[in-house]
Amino acid sequence: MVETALFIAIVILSICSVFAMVRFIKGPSLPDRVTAFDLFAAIVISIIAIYSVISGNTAFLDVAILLSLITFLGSMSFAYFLFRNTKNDR
Amino acid sequence: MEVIQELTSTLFIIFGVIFMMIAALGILRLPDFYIRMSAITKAGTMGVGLIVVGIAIYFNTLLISAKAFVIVSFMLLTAPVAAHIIARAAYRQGIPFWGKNLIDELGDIVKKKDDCEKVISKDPQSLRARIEILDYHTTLPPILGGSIRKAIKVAGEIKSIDTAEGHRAYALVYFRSNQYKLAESEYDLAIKGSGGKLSYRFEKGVFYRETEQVEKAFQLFEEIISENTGIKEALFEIGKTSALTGLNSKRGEEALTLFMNFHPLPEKSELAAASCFMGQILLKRRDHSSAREFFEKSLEYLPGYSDAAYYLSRLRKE
Repeated sequence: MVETALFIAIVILSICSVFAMVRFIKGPSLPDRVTAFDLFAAIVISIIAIYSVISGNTAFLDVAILLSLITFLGSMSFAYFLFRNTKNDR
Repeated sequence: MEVIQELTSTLFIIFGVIFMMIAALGILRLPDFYIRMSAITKAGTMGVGLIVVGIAIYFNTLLISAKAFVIVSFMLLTAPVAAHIIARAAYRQGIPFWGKNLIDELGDIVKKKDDCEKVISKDPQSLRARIEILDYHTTLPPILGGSIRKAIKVAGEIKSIDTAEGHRAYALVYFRSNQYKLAESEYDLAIKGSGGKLSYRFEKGVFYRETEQVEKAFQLFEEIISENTGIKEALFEIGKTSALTGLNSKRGEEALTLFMNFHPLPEKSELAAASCFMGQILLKRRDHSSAREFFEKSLEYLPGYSDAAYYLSRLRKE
């Protein structure tokens, strides 16, 4: 019973990641893509966490921790990239 | 017991998935970047948090709970920071709004500045547009596009058109960048260069008041009165200075009384402000009943005058 619920949850999250990917491809701007990728990473973290329940292997949770850190650094560096690419005199 | 534990954890995970679904739908369907951003930072963080808490409940060991706590606190700490920084970068890059939003204050200021630059390119001698640009550069913080260096350049341009006005512009720049000594000498030069123009002298007095050189401010305004020019404005400024700083309250009261009985009578908005300042002076002297009278009078002159209404409500509380 619990297993089926978790399985359905993973299926729904996969559909959500497809939505995020659609936005990632459509854009239309770079910040849009960065936020879409942020959401994608959050979905992947959730999937990993749920999978650790299904497989019973708790080591997957460490992967989730690392992923959440790396996405933060990624979006920060993209923000600085955007700052540097804007003209200073706006 | 175990069944309850499994059920609660599944419930948490299902709610988390629902939140994730809302976030994903939001990022797909909402109309502009900023609204999409708000959807995913709130709903996304909530979704991940609920799912991870559900997993902590499912395993129910200390180690897993600690890991879950670390993930949730990272998300709670980093998601708003990242969202804020990306939104700011996007705004500065000029990513458009969807067109139905009502307020874009920085955008309005920038547009005004751009208009002024257009005016200058048409009419290179325009002083008014240059003063607007100077205002823009001195009032906005550097991160939003203000720049003291550019303000000084604009002031130099103003000076090459009109020397006295240029000195005043320099004084304004120094005043706003906290170089008070330089500002004072520039005001002096402006007044000398224009042959004692009254508006410059009033500005200098206001500058003295704002930089806590109240004695000099009073002296300057009294000087203007003794020269028999601009008595009305000087009386008003003396009253205002006294009300704001709490010094010299006798002279302030006298000046305001003279101002309110001046011939020809000042405008209603000026009278409202004057009676409000009078009330403040009386309030500092703990003469509550006459202070209340003046605040009421001020509201009579200009219904909805927020300063007077504020003081009145404070008086009523006491």
